[in-house]
Amino acid sequence: MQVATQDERIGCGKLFGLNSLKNHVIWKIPLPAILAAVFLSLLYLATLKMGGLTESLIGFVLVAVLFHAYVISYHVKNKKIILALRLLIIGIATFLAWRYLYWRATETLPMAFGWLSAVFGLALFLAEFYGFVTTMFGFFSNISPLERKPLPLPDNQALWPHVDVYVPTYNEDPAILYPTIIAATQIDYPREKLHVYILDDGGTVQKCNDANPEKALQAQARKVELQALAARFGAGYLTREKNLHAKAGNVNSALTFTHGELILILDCDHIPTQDFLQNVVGFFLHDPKLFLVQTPHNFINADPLERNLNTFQSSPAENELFYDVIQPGLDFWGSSFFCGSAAMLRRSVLDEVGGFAGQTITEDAETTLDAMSLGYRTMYFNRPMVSGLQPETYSGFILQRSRWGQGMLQIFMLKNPWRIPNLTFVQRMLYTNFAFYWGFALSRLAMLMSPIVFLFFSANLCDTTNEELLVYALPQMLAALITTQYFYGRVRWPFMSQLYETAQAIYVTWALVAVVRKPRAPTFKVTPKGEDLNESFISELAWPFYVFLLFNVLSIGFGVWRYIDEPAHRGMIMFVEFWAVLDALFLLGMLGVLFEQRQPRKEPRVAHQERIELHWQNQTQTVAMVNASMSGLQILSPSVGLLPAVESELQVYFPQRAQSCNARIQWHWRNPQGVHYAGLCYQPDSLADERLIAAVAFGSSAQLLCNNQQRHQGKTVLGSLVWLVYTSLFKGGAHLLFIARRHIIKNLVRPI
Amino acid sequence: MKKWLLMCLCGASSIAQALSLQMSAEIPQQLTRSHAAVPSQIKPSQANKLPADNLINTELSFAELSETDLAVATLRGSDAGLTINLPVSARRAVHSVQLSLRGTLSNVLIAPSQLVVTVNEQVIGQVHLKGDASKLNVDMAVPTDMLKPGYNQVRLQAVQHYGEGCESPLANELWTQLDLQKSHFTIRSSARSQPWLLDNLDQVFDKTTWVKRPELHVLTEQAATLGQLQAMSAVVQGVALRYEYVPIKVFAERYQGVWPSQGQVVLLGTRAQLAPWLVELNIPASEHTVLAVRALPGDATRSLVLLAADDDATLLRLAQAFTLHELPLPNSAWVGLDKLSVPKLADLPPVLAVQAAAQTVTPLQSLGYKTKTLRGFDVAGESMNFWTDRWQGRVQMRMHLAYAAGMSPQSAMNVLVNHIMVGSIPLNDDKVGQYDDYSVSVPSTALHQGWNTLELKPVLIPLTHGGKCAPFFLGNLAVTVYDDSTLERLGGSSLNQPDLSLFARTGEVSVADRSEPLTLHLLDNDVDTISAGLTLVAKLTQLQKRPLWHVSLALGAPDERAGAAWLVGKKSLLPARAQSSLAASAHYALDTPVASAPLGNSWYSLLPPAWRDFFVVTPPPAQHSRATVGVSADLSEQVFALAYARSAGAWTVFSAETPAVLARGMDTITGFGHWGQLNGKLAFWHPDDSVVHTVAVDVTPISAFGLRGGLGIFASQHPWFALLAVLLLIAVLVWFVPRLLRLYRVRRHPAP
Repeated sequence: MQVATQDERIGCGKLFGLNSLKNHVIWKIPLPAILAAVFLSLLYLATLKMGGLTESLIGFVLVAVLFHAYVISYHVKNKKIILALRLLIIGIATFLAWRYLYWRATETLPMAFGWLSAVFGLALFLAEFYGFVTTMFGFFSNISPLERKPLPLPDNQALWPHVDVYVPTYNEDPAILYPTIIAATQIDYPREKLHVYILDDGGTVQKCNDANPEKALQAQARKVELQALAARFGAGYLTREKNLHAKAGNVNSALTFTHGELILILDCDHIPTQDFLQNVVGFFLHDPKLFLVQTPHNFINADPLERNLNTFQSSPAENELFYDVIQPGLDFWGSSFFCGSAAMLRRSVLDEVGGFAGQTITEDAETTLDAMSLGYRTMYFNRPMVSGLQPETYSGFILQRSRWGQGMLQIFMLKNPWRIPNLTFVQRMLYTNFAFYWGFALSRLAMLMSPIVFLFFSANLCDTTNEELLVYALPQMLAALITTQYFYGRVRWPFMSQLYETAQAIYVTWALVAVVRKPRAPTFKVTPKGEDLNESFISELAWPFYVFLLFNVLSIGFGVWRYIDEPAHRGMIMFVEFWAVLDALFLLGMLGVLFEQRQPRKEPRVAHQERIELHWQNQTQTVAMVNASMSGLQILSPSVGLLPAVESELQVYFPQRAQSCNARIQWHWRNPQGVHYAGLCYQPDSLADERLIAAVAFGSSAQLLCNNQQRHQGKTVLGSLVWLVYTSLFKGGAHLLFIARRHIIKNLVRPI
Repeated sequence: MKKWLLMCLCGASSIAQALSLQMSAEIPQQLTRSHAAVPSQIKPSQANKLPADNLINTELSFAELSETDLAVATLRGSDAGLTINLPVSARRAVHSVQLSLRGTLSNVLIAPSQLVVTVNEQVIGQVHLKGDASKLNVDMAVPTDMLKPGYNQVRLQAVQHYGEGCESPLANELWTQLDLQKSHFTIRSSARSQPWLLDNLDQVFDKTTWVKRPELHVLTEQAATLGQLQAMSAVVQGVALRYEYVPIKVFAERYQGVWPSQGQVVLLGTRAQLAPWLVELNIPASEHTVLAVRALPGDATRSLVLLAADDDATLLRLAQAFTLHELPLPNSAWVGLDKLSVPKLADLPPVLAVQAAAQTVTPLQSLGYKTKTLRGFDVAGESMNFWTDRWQGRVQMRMHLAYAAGMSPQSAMNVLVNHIMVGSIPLNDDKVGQYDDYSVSVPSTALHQGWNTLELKPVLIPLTHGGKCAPFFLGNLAVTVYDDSTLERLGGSSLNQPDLSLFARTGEVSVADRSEPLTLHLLDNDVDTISAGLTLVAKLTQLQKRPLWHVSLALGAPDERAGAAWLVGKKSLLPARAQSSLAASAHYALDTPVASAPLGNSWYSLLPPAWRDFFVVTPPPAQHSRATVGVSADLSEQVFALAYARSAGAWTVFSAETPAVLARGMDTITGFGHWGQLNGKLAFWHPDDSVVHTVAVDVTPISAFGLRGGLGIFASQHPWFALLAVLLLIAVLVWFVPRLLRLYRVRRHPAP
């Protein structure tokens, strides 16, 4: 700390190596002040009107520099150069974005062309302004992401703290909890210091005595089942009198019964890896002011977009943008926050803040804010160490996202970070951004509406010329594409964000409006997990997208007519037509998402590479494991003739673990390339077998890390555009065909 | 004596409504008395007989009457016309009018072709246009009984044919050219003997006068005090407003027993001082504040306006009442004034041109344009001026038009700015017929800093050209341009340097000072200086179309802290800084670089010379070096106008070596054709010369546009420097931000 203070006082004299002149007052100007002045000068330069030629030159040369920095960044290993390239990219992109926004604000707002133009023109500008602000927040938070390495625990295990593992549950199927409890109870940690508890809010006295006898019986049966599950694997079972304050109340109730110094919170579907505590506990021993270590949520099933558009195996998971890019960035600024699960917290701090906060429906972020205001720190450790489930239907997805959006807005309205004491300026700013982020819903709606309004009503939404669009908008768009690819290309395909935003825009907006009207009204709704999809169907939430698509397609047609009829405006009409077509693709893609595909109930599988041995009838065959689940595994064999027939019993031996388990061959399959696969179904005989099965499928964080990295291949802008066109046309088309078949044809055939 | 509130009089102007004015007169008696007094006024003993040489001939050319510099007007097509307004004063008896037409005919015109002459829509003559005559040389008498006091519309309508059968009405051969300089009216007239009454002061200061520069003599009994000077200034304003747009020449003199030989006369003084001339009007002795009019002693054709008050303050109030030219005055020779209050500057209606300069969105109405329907085949179009004081930025026009159905596809409304075509609005959609907001973008390259000319030139073409006996109809060629069409300025940097061209239209050199009170400083009490100052006041009053209530008058030079002001006086009396600025500007004007051509404006001008030589096949334009010409000149006969920027408010200086030269110079500059030449920072002219030399804004230094504008101009001229500056600033950030991040990391992240 002392060193840092001295460095700060040195100012720029030492930085330039001019110590002989160190008494001169100019060298004593603090470095932050100098950098702020330089940054403001850069922004000032961006606002100057320099003439089309100069501004084009600056715009396109900067884009060229930006592109080269992006390309070079892929080939550089030196951390200093990596940081320099990142700052160069941020600097150029900020200059171009600010220049564009300033131009939009000062020269293009259509305030003199009637109310329609004014309203929608302003809405479009605000949407762009939103994009600018979130981009700047993104640049700021990603300026220097932290890559943490686990801190080793002391050799003397007596110094290791007691850890309580909480698995809160409400109404989930006990089968979902089964692997979680097995994995939690076999985390690599001294048995006497590891205390696993099922926190059952579905088995409270209130639930078991529900006025509806059927519900009461179900709750009692489920409670018995969970108590048995807990007893079988050495976990504790806790419940309470009443279901007050949802998940926060459940955990707070448990805090009064347990005594561990550290609390690991796991959602009931979040199966922990064995090394979870070994990786995390060390941070708490090193930093007494540490309140929280959050780890990524890693999902092993597909969300509705991944499932219905069939991208689960190839595209990075949606939440990886947050957990793999944004959270490490927030961590640098001391602003990473609790995400409800897969996180370890210090009990003493929880006691100090009065347990989990319950004022909002995102108790996790709210509690973090309370702890930060007391001067405690948070940390993010970027290693996937849970295998979880996410909602599989669009309605479940919307339920979850609406809750998140409402919760973050509630925090901003009820616990405004600018009024909470002791937060740093950056923490306040970034917490504001957490609420501001959800403005994407409104922004996306404005983006969807704008081309329709322009093409249908000839409303002037951006009062400009084609030349100015080329000078200001084109470099900014190119820069935005390049920087998005640079920062997020690894974890998010181009245009995928727009699809996710389109998916959420309408219903999240509705949810946010509800919070604005009554900030305390929203209640905690549990995200549905492990849903059963026996047949394909159209989501009941689809109708607004039909309306948007209808108007969008009509506006495109109208735009073609206007293009022919209005030679004077062809440039602008063509630009907006392109935009409208892109929107149509997003909306068609959404129809693909809303066409819920049939999915037979099965155990989620995790890709897993491990050499195993199969033993049967005195024969042994070494094969490679491809994936594993709680019910079985898939293997890859050099030849089909080397394996026993289907329904054959055999023993699977795991050489690295020196353990084995019985299994039965369920199927053989050879792909067109001649590679032979087989499916094996476990036949566990003992508790040890069940523990082995859980450990194989979900026990290794290294395996989870490897699985995620395999999906980090990225996609080019063009490749992604091709994918979008293909997927939207086919999946959206399938949706429309499905409707046609079910409704139109049925109605035609019935009279006959 | 009864008090009578004249505010209740109907027909008072909006300015008059802003005033509270009470005049005293025993109206019924006064009216009777006035009527009774009228005959007495024209008694030979009082008003004198009309001079024997009263009958005069006046020649008025078409060019003078149409106030144009054009030498000719060409009547094209089968049906074309020209309208001339002939002014006739109510105080002159017209005995005969001879119309002389001079011009050239197309030699293909055949017998049925004719030129019809109408006066106030009555035909007074028909002239055959025969092509074999080639020259038009016609004299015709205009019946005087068709002429009325005021403006008489004389229209020349040409009906032209080149064939007896089918012909094209739009044929290029159909033309008649009128020589505007040689075509003229010769008027023989004499003065009417009519009583001089207050309700026809407009006939005293008659805008229909045939005199080019009417003279106004403002006299005082004694040397004028400051209070009397202020009253004289107000009187001049009242006279100028009655003359409306006719420039007047003001002489401020002391009455020494001899009346001026020509022009109108106003005499100011106390009741006692003016008693010799008031006594005949039978004004009660109790009336001390009197406005009166009577014949000038010795010349009944000229009037003497008298303003009598006991003290300077009352005299000023009386003179201010006199400025209300739209306020109805009683039908009598005198009126008493009791009370007057002048509105605050902020309550006054804005001067239109200044409003145009200050607002971002300006309706054409504010530029003096009124909704107009432009008709016919060879329509001249509309022209107006607008002010832009910005570097870069553009202007966006939104045109509100309606046009007649049935015009050919070539019909269009061409929009020109500074004689450069910036847009063409098609007028051929027979389904629409109207544009509510047709957009025309004016690029920055088409704009000047300062006044810009906007021309709306319709090209209206019928569906057929009428040849080969095709149906042809010109009656439906019409387009209406509404005055709610707007002109919007977008972006750019504001000019902060005062400009005489703005002064020439609005009376203020800087937009920034437009709502500030002003002081006219007469630097000495010399009659020539006062005359020059009052001539300027008259001109500016006519420009602003209202009394200059916000302008006070002072004697002597202002101190350096004084606010915005007009300074009139000899050079030696100017404040030191104004003198040095004038000297520097004059030197600059005589030492201006005369040639400095950049290397062209193409993209390759950005390349380094070596690259340019290599890549560019076409030889670049030749470079010109700057040449400076030093001139040693005698400036003693020159008059200067200088716009001088100061933080407290701009000064506008009119100065010369001597008051006499200044007075002559002021007469020259306020005349037609000279005033409009004022431009830039400095103007100088010889009193007897028609050319005004100016230092235009085009050659003002970059600093004139403030920091933003200056940097913008520099960047536009040096694009590579601008790019380098941007990259340099980004490089500074890239270099130093890591150090700042390291400091932050050390402070905030004690954990490894």
